[in-house]
Amino acid sequence: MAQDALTVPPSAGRAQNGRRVRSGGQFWRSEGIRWLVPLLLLVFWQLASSVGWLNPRVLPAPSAVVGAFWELARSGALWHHFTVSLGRAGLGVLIGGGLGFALGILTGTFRTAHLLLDTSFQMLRTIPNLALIPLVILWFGIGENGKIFLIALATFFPVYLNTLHGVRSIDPRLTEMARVYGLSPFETFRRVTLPGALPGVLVGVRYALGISWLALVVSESFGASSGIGFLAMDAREFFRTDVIVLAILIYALIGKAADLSVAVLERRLLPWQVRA
Amino acid sequence: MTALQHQLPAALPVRAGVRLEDLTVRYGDRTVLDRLNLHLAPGERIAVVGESGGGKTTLLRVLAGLTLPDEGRIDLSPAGTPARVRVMFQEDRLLPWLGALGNVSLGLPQSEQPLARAALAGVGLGDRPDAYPHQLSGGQRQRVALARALAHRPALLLLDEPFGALDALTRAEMHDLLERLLDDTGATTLLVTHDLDEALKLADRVLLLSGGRLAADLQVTAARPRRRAELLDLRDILEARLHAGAQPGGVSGRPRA
Repeated sequence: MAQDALTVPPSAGRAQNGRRVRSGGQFWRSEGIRWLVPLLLLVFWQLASSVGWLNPRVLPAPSAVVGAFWELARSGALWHHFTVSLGRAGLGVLIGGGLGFALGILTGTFRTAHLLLDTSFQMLRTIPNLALIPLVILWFGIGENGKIFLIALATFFPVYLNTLHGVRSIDPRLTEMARVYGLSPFETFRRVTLPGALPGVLVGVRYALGISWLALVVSESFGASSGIGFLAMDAREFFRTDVIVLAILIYALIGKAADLSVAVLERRLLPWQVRA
Repeated sequence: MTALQHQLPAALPVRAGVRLEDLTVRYGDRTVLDRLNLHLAPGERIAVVGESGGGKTTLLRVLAGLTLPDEGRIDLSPAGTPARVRVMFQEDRLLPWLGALGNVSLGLPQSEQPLARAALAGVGLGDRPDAYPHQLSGGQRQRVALARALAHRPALLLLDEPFGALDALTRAEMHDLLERLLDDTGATTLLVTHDLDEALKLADRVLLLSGGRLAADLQVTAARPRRRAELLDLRDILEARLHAGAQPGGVSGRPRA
């Protein structure tokens, strides 16, 4: 029948991904420019240390930091402290983020839950983590639980707030459409609410991962006998500035890696989002 | 034979008849539908026109079950089986995270999933099942929305100014497509539009709603496909009534024979 005449050739899809692919040369040039300033700073830093302008007690030379890295890596201590920190942060994010997600969905979906809970959460959110440390030590002692509690608490709020916002920003016309097309409340949640809230949830996760390292530093600064934070505190006792700088660098690198992993996750889970 | 028809089971789905009795809807102290009485025969195609705020969209929302009437009753026949009522909205209302086929098959039971593919082919987008809504043009998105409505084989199909946002050329194309698909499926159809030409081209019967009441009820008997020139007399009548209806104490409803 004449219907074939209406079949649109694929090229007619106007906005079929208007992204321009950068050529290889362009990519490396822009990456080179991006790293130029940090690299120059590093060279200047090494130079200043070698000439003697910088007191190694204040700031060790980059070569000394690399040396400390090699020494700790060879003995296996670095890996041990690193995995302990990673475990604490991971468990804290899992608990805090998981609760934040669940309660964000709950308060976003049900008006009564929102009325009951949201005000309390918003009040708790404003309490600084550091102010809780004395109480946390009294509650949990100086063991692992207190540290994980602090990380979970810090990561709860970004995930909660962004999930709540994600659910609430879903176009109500889509929910109405789902109703007209016979979707059950559960199906509507699965097909409309959850995917609609996902961009918000991932923003929350991204923020939570960043803040989890902050909470980790705070929690490892008291009563710890392992972890990157302990490594830095221990090094302070012996004036090992090279190890302290190494610990700081590791925090920075892990933070960046966590951020990158969420960015990758966003690309995988949200292929439908129009990107600039 | 179109792909959609080809996939249909031997027995066509039930076509709903609709009877409204003294239907009244109020928003606050404003009466939007005022004791409306109406009968839609099974398989009939009806267009509802009228000025903004005349109750067109409210009538559609009541039939879709999205707005509850304050008074009166709605009977969908045949009684006993829950009639499938589906709506095509003015905006496409496609889920941005699903591809075209995913959107069309939304809410379809497992056994009817093949109908989604057929419906998408029926609107000429069978070769783009994975395209996300943002990768489609406005006209293509409305076609996906139409395919979604038809894949459900509704007993009553409600169209709420579905082509209002499209350019004239695409709209004309959509009219032809809709006409052909309705010929295939035979669903009872109610089209809300502000475009008199569109109403006269597509419908068997054009209702004019004014102030929540029926101000005119015109039969359109011209053979299909209709040309605009053939419909000018009816258009004049409708236009006259539309203007009269806007006045207080306008032309009262002409009962249908």
